[in-house]
Amino acid sequence: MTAGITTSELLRLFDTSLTDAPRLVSLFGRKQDDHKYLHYILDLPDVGYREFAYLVEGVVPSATRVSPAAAWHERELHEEFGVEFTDHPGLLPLRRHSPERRETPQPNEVRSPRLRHGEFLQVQGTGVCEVPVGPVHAGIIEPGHFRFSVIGDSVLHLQLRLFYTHKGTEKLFEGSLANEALPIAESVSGDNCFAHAIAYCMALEKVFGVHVPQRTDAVRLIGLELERLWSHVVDFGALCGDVGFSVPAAYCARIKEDLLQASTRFSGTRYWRAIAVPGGVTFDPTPSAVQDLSRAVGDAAADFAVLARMALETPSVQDRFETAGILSPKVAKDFAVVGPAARASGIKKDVRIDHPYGGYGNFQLDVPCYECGDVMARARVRVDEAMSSARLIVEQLASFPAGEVRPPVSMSGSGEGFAAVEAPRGELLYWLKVNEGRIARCHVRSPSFQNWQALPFAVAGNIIADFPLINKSFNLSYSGCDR
Amino acid sequence: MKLALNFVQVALLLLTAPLLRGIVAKLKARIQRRKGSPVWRPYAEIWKLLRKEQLLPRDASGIFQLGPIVAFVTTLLAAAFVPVFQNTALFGGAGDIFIFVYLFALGRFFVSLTALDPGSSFGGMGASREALVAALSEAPLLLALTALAILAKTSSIAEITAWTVGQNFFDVSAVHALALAAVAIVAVAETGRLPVDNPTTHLELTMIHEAMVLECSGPSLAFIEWSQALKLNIVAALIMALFLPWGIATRLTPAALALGLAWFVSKIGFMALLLAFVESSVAKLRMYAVPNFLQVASALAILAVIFTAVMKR
Repeated sequence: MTAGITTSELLRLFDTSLTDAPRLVSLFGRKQDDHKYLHYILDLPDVGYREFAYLVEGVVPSATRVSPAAAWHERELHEEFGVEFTDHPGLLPLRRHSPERRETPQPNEVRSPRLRHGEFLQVQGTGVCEVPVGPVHAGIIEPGHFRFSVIGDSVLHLQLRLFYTHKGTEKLFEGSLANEALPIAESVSGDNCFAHAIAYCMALEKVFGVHVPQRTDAVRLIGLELERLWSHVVDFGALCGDVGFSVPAAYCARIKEDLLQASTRFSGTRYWRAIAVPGGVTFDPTPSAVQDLSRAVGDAAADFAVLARMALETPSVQDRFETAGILSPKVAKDFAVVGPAARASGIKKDVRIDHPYGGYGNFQLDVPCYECGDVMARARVRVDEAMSSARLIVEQLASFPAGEVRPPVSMSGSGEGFAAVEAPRGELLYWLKVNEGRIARCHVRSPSFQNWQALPFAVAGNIIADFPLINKSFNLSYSGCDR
Repeated sequence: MKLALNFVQVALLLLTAPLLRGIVAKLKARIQRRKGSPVWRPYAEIWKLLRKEQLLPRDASGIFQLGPIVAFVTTLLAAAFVPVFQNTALFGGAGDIFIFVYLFALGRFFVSLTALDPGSSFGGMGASREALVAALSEAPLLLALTALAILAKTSSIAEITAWTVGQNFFDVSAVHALALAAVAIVAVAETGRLPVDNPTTHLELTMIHEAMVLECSGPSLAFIEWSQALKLNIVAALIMALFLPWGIATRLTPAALALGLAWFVSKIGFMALLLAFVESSVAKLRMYAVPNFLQVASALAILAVIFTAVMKR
């Protein structure tokens, strides 16, 4: 799967004059025997995922000029692996926000036109103000710093400073036994823990060539779709809450709780923690549990359909959602945006359809796609996806395959591989290298890492008071991005 | 006797203010099918804040501590102009509609100063938004009150009430309808309720009033919260006194007073219910749509004044 390639060949792949340029899925580094390797994972049209490994010798040509989606990946590589890139627009560290020791500026130092470490780009002009927000917020939310340059209430430019919750997660994986690292994967982004666990397990299964029984695939599909269903219900409720429309917000919280309780009756856990294991799942649902879940999901979906229609047909909600935070298809494509945000901007990509995995090949899936790219489009994508997830769960429960769910698997040996799943926020990829049963390197490309880069482009031109709503419509995970 | 009753009216407004807030919050919770917190919670909150330590931002000056007290005192003074269950008020006389409106403005001015004083970005943002809302809501409120004053041939709130009680309920003029609509819109803006401002939000970038008081803590915050709750009570009482005064006690007999009080309680209960329903059925306006919303109030108030000319009385 891994192909050696020179960077110039690689960059030619990104030629944007072609309409079907490849999409950058991930770019990460790996150290082995004093050598540094770069791994490019691309999604080639009509071909699928391809991985290209590249041995670093000297300075590497930057991919950012041809594919802006690589910007943060290369900054991360520069910071974590000391890789030098030519022609990158700004290789500032993502995580160390300011220099460790403050260098005293020389009195007659010529200021470089480029941004220096720890500085924000300053928008100049009369009446331009800077508004710093965070990392500590008025509500109990994850930390992130937002630097707005505004004229009056209009946002001219937004700069993000994230990675406050960087925990060195990828490093934590290293050295642990492959099947013991699951709790780490489950806590990368707590609200999507099952998607992370499944992506990790699938990557391991790729490494060892493990075959997963059909019944296991069915249980996993139900778990993944349940997670998507309640995530979208919660996101929709939060969008309503952000515009002060409290009734749908409260009802969405109720529907989510119903689903979590149904999930507890089905699997014994609310959020499906410790359910996925490499090669299987840890429980085998009884026929009565299957019926019960089917009924609960059907009820929740029916409630949510009525509620969503009521909320989206309220004029004051339409007024807030429509035309707010437009992410243009061009920006979405340039930054390789994934998930509901991409599908709201006319990019009909979904891992479940483009690269079917697990049990998804057996079902007809409706993937919603809207062109407007505003908050309303992202809300509608979520509502439609929640409906299609509910349908999928009910269909899968109706045709539940027989068989075992947890065959014994042996996981000794070495190898590498990757797998992607469609998490509620979009394409989630795990890349693993295993040495003698222990993880040598694990790379997590969360959908949030990719999508955060595009957020400032959706915010510019809006009023600053609409930022929380726009941000919520993307609903990106800080923890998943920062790792 | 009358003086004592007037004091009782002010005390009633002051002391039931947190309760009204609690009732509105409870009703909203019930509409959302939540249990909701007890209606007495705002009292506990104020009591808690009063006993807490006051934290001062590093760059704050004396005005930071003065502002909340001025806001509280001006709101309390404004309360003394409104008849509650009997048709006189503690303060009153020619021109008090203007004093009433500008007492609110003075309080708001000092809260804005409190917001600006520590030099934090949210305070400034909140203060500038509040100034915008204030500038646009002051005119319709004054005009609507003026229209009523022209009809009643007096500019004292208590006397307008006394005059209105003497009219037939089914005889209400177009002026009243227009002025009521204008005052209702202004009331929403003035008390920081939906759809102009969301009093329960935690999103600092969308706040108006809440952004101004982010830096306040302890007793300062208690005074701000209480004066905000009192404002809601005053505005509700004002709307009743000007537009729906029937039932108010016009004689000082115990029976009339009891009836007046009962009417007051039922009318304010109805208004709380109305507020809870309105707040549950709309989303907050976009910030730049707020001026349009208040323009409607201005237009209605101007029409109300014009219509007084054609109302031959």
